[in-house]
Amino acid sequence: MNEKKLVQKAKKHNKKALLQLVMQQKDDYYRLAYSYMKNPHDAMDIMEEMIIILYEKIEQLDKIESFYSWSKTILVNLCKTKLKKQHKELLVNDIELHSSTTQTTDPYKYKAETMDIEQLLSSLNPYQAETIKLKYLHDLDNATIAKITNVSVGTVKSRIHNGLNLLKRVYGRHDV
Amino acid sequence: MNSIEQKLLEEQKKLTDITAPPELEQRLAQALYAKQVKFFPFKRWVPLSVAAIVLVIFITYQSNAIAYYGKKLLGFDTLMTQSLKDLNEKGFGQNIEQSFLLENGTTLTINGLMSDENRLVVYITLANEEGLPDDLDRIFTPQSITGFFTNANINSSYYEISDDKTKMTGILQFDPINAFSKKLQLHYNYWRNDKEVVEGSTDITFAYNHKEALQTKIKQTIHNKWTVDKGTILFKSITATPTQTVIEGTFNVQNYDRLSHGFEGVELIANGKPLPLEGYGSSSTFGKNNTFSIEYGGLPEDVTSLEIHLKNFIGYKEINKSISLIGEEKKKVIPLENGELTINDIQLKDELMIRISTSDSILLDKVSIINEAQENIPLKTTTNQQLAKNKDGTIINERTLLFETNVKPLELHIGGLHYMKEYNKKIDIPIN
Repeated sequence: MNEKKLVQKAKKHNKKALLQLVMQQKDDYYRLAYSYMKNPHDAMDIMEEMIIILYEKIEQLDKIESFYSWSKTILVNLCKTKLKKQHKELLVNDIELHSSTTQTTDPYKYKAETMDIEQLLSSLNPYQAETIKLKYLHDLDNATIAKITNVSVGTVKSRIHNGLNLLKRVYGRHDV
Repeated sequence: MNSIEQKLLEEQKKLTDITAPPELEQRLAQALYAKQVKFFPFKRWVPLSVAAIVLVIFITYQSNAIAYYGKKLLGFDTLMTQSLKDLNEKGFGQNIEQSFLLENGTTLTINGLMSDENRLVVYITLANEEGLPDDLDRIFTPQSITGFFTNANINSSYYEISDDKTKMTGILQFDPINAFSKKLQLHYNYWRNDKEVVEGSTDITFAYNHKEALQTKIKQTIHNKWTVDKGTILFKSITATPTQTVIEGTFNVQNYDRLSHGFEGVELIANGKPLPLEGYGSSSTFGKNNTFSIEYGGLPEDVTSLEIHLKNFIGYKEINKSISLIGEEKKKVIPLENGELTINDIQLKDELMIRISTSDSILLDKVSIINEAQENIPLKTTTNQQLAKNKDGTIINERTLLFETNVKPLELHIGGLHYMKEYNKKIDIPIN
């Protein structure tokens, strides 16, 4: 069944359709939640919260085609709220965690690997870092990022541009 | 592509190694389906005031109920049937964890309940640091549970005692109780000074929460009449609850109680697999339409097909078989319809005694002998019946046939057989 039909069904409080919609991009949602929450447990908790909010609010979704950007915005906002509550730092500065530079695809090493990029991104301001992550790691379009981060598309573009330029300088130092 | 973008691309690839765990769908579905969202088309204050009123009513009316929480019961695993286990795994049932002191210092803890239209299951623990008595009925024999329009008698109880005999877990099964009961009272007997039976104290009262109890899944009429050799069986209805599936009906079978196998040859098959038989019961066979109920384990979660399979049931066959009793060999084996008859011993004193054995699913009918005087002597009675278990688990029924004669027998005549006949009939139960 195509996305539009599912969204229409979901808008009529069809729980199955909603679940199907989310499951179609489950990995994207999960990665997004994981990258904010940093552990599978919280990531799944957040997704549970998300699906309930989607269910309650899907009536308010006007553009049927923007279901995914809308729902991901909600997911990220939930993550941020929860992180604030947990007083967790979004960006990691602990230099000791930055250990491995070898290329590996072992998912258990993912944490160490991402620390690499987190380390890099930590030289940016948090807004730039978040925008770059959403853009390049989660493949979201500028408009969705704008919604998630609650700024205009122009701001998103400039954050990406400035962020990348800054990174190039920092990365140049790393890349000996 | 410049190096930083390449680096980001690599990171993205690594991220794709992270996939949603398989249990995610389950969890999302659970969250979503557990959510009861009410949509109010009214103005804002309407739902708010309704919520306020509901809340007030809820708190005042159900203040006890708020304390309940779903939790797994631990320590009953070896006692539980598979369906109960599954439900317990999922955290169904009402948790109680309330303790009471019995007469001799033993603590009785009501751990939890599960209930549905078929039965009420109560989980208990008995503990006494000085050791529990070997005969439990001295301190605790559960009788019934009463409550609002409820008087549920006990049906069965299983216990398991710890190695040091200080702790005992038990599962008690009662008749179903009324959904509107708020409080239940457990009645039990015990012995005082080993002399008199005392009805237990009425202090054992605990709250009941029907919401946490389980709802009936399927209740369906079947109405399917089957003919067996000596009568008919009418399957009337099936009631399936999470803990149990019960088939009820009436039967009018002349020779039903001649063998003790009853309805154990009736299978209930869900999705191609037979459910575990938990028991059956039938009313007295004197009347014409006797009722029966057969109990099975709970149905699997997604039932696609359901059928009743009358594998075997008591049947009857005229055989008119004559067996020669002349000859010296001690043991004689004669093949019968679904087994064999063994003649173990023949003794002739004042009466003729023939010791025979068959499987417990065969009963001989219209038995007589012909003696040397060419008289036909009918069977007087059967005595000294003994059941023994074979190595392969089958049960052998050994008994002595008595004939009123003192003349040497020539022939044993068997007119007919009551036996467990393979009917292999099936009916489909449509699933709504």
